[in-house]
Amino acid sequence: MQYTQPNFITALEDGTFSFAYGISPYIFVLLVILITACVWFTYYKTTRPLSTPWKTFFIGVRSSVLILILFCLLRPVITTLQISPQETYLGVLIDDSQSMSIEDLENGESRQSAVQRALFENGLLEELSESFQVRIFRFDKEAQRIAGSEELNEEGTSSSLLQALEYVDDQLSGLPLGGLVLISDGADNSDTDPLVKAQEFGARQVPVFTIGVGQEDIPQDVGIVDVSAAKTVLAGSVFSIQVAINHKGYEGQEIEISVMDGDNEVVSDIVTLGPEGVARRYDLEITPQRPELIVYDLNVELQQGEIIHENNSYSFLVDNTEKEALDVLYIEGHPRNEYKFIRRAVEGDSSLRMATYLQTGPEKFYRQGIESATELSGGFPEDREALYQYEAIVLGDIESGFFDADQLQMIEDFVAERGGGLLMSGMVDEEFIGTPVADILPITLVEEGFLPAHLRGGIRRGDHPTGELYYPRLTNSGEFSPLLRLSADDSENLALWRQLPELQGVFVTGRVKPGATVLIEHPLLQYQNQALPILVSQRYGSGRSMAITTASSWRWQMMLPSVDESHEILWRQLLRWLTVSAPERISIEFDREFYNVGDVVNVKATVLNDEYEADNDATLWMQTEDPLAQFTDTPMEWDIEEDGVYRSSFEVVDEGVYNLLVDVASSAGEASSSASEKRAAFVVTPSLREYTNAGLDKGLLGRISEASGGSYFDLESASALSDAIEFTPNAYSREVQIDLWDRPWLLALLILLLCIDWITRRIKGLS
Amino acid sequence: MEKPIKKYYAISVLIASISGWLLVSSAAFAQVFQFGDNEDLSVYGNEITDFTWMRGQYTNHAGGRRGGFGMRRRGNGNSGWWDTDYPDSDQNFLRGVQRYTNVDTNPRNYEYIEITDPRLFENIFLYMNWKRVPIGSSYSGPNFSPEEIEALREFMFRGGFVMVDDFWGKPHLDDMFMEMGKIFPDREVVKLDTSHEVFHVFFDIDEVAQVPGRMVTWDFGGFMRLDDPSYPPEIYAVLDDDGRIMMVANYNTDLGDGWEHTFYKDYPTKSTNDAYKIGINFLIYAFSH
Repeated sequence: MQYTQPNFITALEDGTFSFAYGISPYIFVLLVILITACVWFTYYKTTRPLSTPWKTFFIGVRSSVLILILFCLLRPVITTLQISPQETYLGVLIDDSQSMSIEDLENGESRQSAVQRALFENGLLEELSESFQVRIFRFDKEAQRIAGSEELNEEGTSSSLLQALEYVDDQLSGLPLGGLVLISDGADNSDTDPLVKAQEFGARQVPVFTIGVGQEDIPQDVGIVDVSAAKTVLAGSVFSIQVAINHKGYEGQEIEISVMDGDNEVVSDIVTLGPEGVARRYDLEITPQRPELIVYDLNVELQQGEIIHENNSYSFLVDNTEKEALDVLYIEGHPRNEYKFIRRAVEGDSSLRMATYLQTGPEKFYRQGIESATELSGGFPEDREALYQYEAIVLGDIESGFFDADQLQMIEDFVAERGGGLLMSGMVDEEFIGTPVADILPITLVEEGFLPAHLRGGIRRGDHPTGELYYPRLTNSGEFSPLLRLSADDSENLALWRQLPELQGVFVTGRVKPGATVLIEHPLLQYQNQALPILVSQRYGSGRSMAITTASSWRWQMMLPSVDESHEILWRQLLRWLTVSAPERISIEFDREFYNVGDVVNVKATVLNDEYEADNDATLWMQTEDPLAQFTDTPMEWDIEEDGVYRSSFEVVDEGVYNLLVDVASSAGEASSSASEKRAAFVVTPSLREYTNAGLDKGLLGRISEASGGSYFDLESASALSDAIEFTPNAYSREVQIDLWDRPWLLALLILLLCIDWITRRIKGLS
Repeated sequence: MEKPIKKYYAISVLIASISGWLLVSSAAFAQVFQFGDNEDLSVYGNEITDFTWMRGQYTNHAGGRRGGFGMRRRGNGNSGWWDTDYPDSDQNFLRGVQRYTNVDTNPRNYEYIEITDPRLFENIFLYMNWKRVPIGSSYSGPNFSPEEIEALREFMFRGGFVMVDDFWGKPHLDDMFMEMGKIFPDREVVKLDTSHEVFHVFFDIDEVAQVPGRMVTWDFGGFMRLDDPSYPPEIYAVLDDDGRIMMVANYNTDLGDGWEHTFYKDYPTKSTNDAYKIGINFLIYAFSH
């Protein structure tokens, strides 16, 4: 309800009208009747004859004059609540976040400019100051008292109405607070609810008057909502950039998205905007050319008629620093082409290290890619600590007897518990049936003797069906899997796959397990009405497993021109996929991907011991390097509710790249540096939040005022604010009686009636 | 398939050589290379194994042809020396590979192939015998056509491994450099010493031993003796951009004869052993690099 100074009519309606001398309204009515009767009596006989209507008219006018005089003599008053001038305080809160710089008002005026004009230039603040002790505050995600408009800068990267109300309440506590004026666009993006605080103010009879600024519905805008960058399993340092774009008024419009590295355009794409109001994600791929942290600028082409420009560009960080290679252990049963070319493919990928143990002959082995003379010197690792140093295991045509029972169990634990990957390449020894390895695989192992006759014959070349050449067929899953991408473009990817040479031979065993995903299948051969899988994968425990049932992918190297990289790309992607999900001994997570100045960064470090079990006994220190190259050391505290998890948080105060180094002491830090420290980085960027859903939220502001007993005003009608505040009851209002007898309109009415009476009497010739 | 004449000679002495073979192989390693008699290869069936030994046919210089000596050669009419020691050396080497390594092969899986044949790329290992007569002659060995040069270069760039064998003396060495220069104009031909990985990948080979041809044991031609300092055995190689060997050339040594005469009693057992050792090392290297 909006309060203004009460008048006679509202007072009658509200029952707050009375006579100061205590005359009852009933007596007043009686006197009115008596006056009317007396006047009627005086007009009973007139000097000149009058018709009844004229007589009635004259009685009415004369009675009205007398009643009006009586009314004034009885001193009519309106009883109301009113603040005492200068005895109470009024807090004026002005939104100073970035959204207030949006120029969506008439003649392109910004919201903040309009507020300043109404408040400071047009005298609203001065008017309020006549009745209140006014205290002015600016706020974004935090509030601060200011002296004047010169301290407003519209730089706040987020808005919190709740925080602002709480701050002002705290600052003015102990003072007689008569009310608050909240001037904002209502674009609260703090994930907090200001209504609770408004209700609290209402209970304390501190009304909050809200003034809304800006357009409720911004007609045309294209804005970046979110950007994320993640390294893919694709060959090379390929990063997938996901851009979320929202828009209003440009449905179906083609716009250009581009990524800039300084002044150089890295990638661009033309995308078609979808339905308005729905954030749609678009994918870009970039391949950084420098092994370092790179801050890119994402730009969305500015459209005709856009009001908000700020949300058309955004900065994001890509961490292309050289990482320690992920380790793959490859056990190969015999020298073969597949082994040779898998090794060659990985040798060109710095993100992978492949330690191989090749059974070259009876009791003869050959190690490659080892990091020390002792690595694999005893064959397959015999303890978990040694095995768990790898992220993935590849088994190629190796006999089950190569492993003892403990080692087979360790392989299962490696996948299920440590979270590593297992790839079975080529044939699978039937002796694996019934072992833990059989459980891991995404296909069921079946003895060859149980297979249909036409599926026996083995993987070797020959006229038997399973030894023939064939063009592998991508399944629907395979067609769009990042593991098998030869091109980011779907149609080009398919075309490249069609150009791959034939494979030769397929190893046949049982059915694909439920939950496994077949990515490549045989075009012709089936087992139990299921196309023979060529490449199939599944999740197993914490890790992943994959089976490749051919030993002829090397043909994609030898049967294609030497400049073709298809074989290398595919194997690198497959092995990256196998390795990337394996957790590291120390991992660092941030609660968000990008931060803005003033945000609190919550850092979570997870520490595993040498058997990759959660380590709760570690001591962690986090060193932070800010964009100004200032270093800060802070301890990380163990989170008692999560095993192996340590947390710390800090506020970022500068835009730019922050580098973190988490150092782990005690049990987890006894091994190599990779097991005792971990680096990570994030970027503090300009915020987009203030430009997302930045229309005036009149509903929220209205609810705040309603919950607190105040009123909502548009900025254009803010001139009525002063009266509304003055006559809105608050904790410090006092009862006052407003005299009505001295109102100018009463005198004017009296003179008017007398004039009418005199003129008409002259016209009718009455004396 | 027509066999060269020395094959029949070799078969005729094969059985007799077995007893001698056993005697001279008292040393532990020598015992490693004791094979059976002239076995019936049909026992290996018709299966195509994972590895097939490929011997390359190539164009010879006109002056190096043997056509005028009344011996019709196999293949495309180039009438060169590409089939020297064929097929005994091929069969015997495969027998050794089958027995002493885990490579999936058997003595029946050998072929010869024109090096311009696209099927070449279905393999990773190519053997070429660069024998020419007489020793000391120039322009008597390979004279690759542009198509052959392109095929060989591409084969190796894709990952194939080429082993060249059996050329002797400075003129032949110069010929080798000339032909290598045609294939890889921008690459250096390097001489390998025994510290290289290829000499340790399966057997540890500390010395590049000379594996003699028949002229040494049978005084065939009479001008050369075993370990003649005028003919030092050397291994040359061409490396790829990552330092891997793409091609090896055995100079002043003849692994093919070493394999071929496996069962010949007068042929030095040590030389046979040396031939197998380095041949297997080349093969394992090819499978692992």
